[in-house]
Amino acid sequence: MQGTTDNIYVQMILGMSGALILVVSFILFSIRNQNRLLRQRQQFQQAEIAHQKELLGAVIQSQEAERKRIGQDLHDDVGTTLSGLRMLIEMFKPVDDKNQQYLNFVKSSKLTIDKIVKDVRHISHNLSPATLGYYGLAAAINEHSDIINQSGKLTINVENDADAVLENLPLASATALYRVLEELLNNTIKHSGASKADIQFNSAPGKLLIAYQDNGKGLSGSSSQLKKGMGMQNIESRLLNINATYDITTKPGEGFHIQINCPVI
Amino acid sequence: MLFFIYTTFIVPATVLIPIAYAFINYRGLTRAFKIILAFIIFSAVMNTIASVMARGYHMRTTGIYHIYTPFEFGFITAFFSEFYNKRIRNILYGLIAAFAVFCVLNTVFIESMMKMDSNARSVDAIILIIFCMLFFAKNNSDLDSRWADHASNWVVAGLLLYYGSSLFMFIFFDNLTRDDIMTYVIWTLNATILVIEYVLFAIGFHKCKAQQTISTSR
Repeated sequence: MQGTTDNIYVQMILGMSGALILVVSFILFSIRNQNRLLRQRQQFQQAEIAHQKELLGAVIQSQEAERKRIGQDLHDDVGTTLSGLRMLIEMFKPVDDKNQQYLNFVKSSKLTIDKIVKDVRHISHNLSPATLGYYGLAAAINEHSDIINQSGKLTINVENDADAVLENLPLASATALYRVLEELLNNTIKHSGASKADIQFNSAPGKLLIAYQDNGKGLSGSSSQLKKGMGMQNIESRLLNINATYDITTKPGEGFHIQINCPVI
Repeated sequence: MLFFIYTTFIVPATVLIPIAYAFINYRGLTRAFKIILAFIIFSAVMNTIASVMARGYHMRTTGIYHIYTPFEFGFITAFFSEFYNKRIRNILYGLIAAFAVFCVLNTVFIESMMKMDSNARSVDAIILIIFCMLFFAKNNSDLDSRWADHASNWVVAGLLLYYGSSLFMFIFFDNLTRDDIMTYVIWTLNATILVIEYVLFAIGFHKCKAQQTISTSR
């Protein structure tokens, strides 16, 4: 009888140990399997993000090319034709060139043509700033700031402490950053009620740092609410495309601040 | 003597580890985890009563198991029911009631209070093992985060480890009332698995920390 009881004990211990090993193995295999599936999915998602980024890059590139073409056409064709028209009006001499009606007509025509030429140049510049391609980001931003400063809508102060980095910045990155700053200035003028904006270019090892700040009314709401706006979405997609990151700090009544970190090779 | 200290003081004291973690993270606990916390506290109270009865008054404690088993099944099934829809939850509540009736019938007609409730505990363990397996089968298809980041995975792993390993012990439960060295070995093994279960519960409670808010930076 004692032998039978001992046998049951041994079987119980063996059974418990066996079950313990089985359960531990099951849990470990389960963890390994789930982590493997998770890794595969993450890899797939990363590949998909990379593909989306490529598509976004292609869209932005073709958009820029199209803007450049339209800008050049406007500047070269329409601008030249308008200048020609102005000259024609100037050259036209009627029988009575002292006629007051004729003099008024010439004056108002020339004024209108000058205004159209100025507007076309403005639109052409906005579509594709030639300065960006020839003299780089800092010069293009300075030029854009000067135009806004002259309009009296906003006082923009640009500080550049990253000359070396900006000189070697690829055109694609410079264009993206120019568009982002343009959008930020546009937002400041349209929505913030600010009187002053500061743009500061700095460099860190392997990075271009851009700080943008205005003294407007600031924004309330969470980061997801901020990102819902079309302008912010444009900024995000432009920065994503050049692998830049950003950090927004804003509160109602305390202005708007964005810090952009752009990697440079 | 060592066996006495280990099973009477050290192992019951380890129940404080998950309880402490549960109270530290109490704000982050979901209803399922509050049920598990209630179960652990109930277990600790019943263990203390059994220890006092056995060590202090040399009374037979087999009756305690007859009361403990249906409550244990109720708590753990209620925990699992939180992961399913209302229809399945109601079925599980019905199962809790049916199991309680089964335990009463088992005590009245098959295994008296003077014996261990081997049948009830074995059925209890088998059903809970099935629940654990179903939980993992359901959760394995969730690929939103790592296995270890799911607090409930740790709790269910603890339950599966304890009930899976102790099933053989529950089947031959009645032999464990004898006073010999082999009984001590088996009780020590069971107590050690219980400690592991409590540690896994504690990890589960630790993972229930309230979520941090997201800043505006990317």
